[in-house]
Amino acid sequence: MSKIEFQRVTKRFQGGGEALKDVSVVFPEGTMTFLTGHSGAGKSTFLRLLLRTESPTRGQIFVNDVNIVKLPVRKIPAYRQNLGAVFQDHHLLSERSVYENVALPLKVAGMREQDVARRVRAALSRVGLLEKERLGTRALSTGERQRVGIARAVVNRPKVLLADEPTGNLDPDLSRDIMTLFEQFNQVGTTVIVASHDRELIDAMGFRIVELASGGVICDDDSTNLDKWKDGSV
Amino acid sequence: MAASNEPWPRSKRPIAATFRDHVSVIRDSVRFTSRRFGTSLLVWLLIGTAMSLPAGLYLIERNIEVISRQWDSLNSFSVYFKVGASEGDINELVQQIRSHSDVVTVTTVTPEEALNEFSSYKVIMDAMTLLESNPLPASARVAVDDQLSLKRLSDVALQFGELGVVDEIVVERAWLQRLQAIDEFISRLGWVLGVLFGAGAVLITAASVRLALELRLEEIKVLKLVGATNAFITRPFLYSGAIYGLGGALVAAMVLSAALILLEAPLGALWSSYGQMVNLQGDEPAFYFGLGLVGVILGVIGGLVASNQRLREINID
Repeated sequence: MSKIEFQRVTKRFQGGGEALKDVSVVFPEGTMTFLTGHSGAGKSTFLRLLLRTESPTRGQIFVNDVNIVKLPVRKIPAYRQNLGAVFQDHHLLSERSVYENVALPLKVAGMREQDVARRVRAALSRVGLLEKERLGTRALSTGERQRVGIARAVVNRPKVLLADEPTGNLDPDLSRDIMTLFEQFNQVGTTVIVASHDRELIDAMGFRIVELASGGVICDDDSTNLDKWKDGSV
Repeated sequence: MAASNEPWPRSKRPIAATFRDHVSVIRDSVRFTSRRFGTSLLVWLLIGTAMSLPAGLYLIERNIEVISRQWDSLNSFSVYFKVGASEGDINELVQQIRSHSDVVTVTTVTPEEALNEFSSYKVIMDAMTLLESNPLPASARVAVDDQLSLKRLSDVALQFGELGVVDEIVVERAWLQRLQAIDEFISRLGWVLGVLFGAGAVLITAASVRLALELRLEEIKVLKLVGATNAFITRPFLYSGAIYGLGGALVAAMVLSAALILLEAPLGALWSSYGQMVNLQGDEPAFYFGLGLVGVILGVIGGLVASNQRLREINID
């Protein structure tokens, strides 16, 4: 179970303005949500707070009823092992192969080599890159790199999948494919939160949309997910 | 509210996984240092040089201690008779010395026996052949009571020095005490330099590990994002430090071995002129094992210093 709740969260950066202002929002377990808004609306800050690479200036963030703002530093690695994160700039290791990049979270978790191989190949097969496992990531196209990033994010079967502008540099067809992948992960029970400014694409997906502007929630169209959640289909 | 203070129950990391990590990290660290052999060699030479001096002083101190112990047990002085002194006069004096209450034994060496002792030194023997007669005097080594103080020993020696047939009295213990004082000084100097150069070795390792860390900055950020602990992230850098330290210790061991080989022959000649056998300390496995261990410890400390300092600064945005 992976319910996420932001309670009156404010994030102010030193010397800068407020990236998030008094944001309260709930993501029920097993739902898929799009965070949207213009550049600087606070989408990336929102995800960074969830990843615990940033801490809020005020407010609480609950994951499964545990306030992660108060999570001791030594417990953060174990917390992050249950999250999958996809970034616009991929964060891949350029000197490592596709296989090694995807295997990283499993190695960190201490999995046996045979299990690592099995899981990595399953994840690569899911994103359609199994035949490229031995290639270096430099040899891949932008879309392929993004798919490697997705494979790495899901290989450890995370409870929550976060994606920050995952289709930022991709063409519409490829963007649609990537979103379909997220949808598939959501269908197996993973709570998915995708930050994207591609309104056309996310409207077409038909999932809940939380719109941010100047650090605040200006629109929360949660009818789709909430309905599904209430009738027990997710 | 959840019973646990973590969002999800934590799965225990198997011990075997940690063992596997260590093996894999050792392999990677060896590969990393060997791929940058030129840089690694420089680091090894620097650490080796830093370790050689205090380790060398330690060896000097140990050898002086051993030599002092050899001389200390003798507790004696030498009486050199005038060249041409009659055998009768010498025997009379030897009897007189023997009858002294503090004297334990007296061993006489005739001019012929002294010449025989020099027979192994070709240069001296060549010089001797140019002389018409044996220039060496008769002598006597006088061993006294072990408990005798240096002052009392000097008094006894001086007592015999005033007699007619005696040319010179040499009390070896006087310079032995000076040697012991030098030994004490070298020991202290060794500690001071050990701390200074040890810190130097740590800093050299830290700088090298820091360089390796900068090369892998992106990897560290990604590892942090996927939930690696600081221990997991730091591990390769500690092993790199250990490899640098061990390599440095190996260089120091080679330098010291070469120094021992070079010094053994001339020291042996010097010591045998005092009737002593020299057996230089420092070529035993325990010393080299200790040197390696110190190198590894200094390297790991260097790795820790560099990685802890840098990891605190890394922002994983």
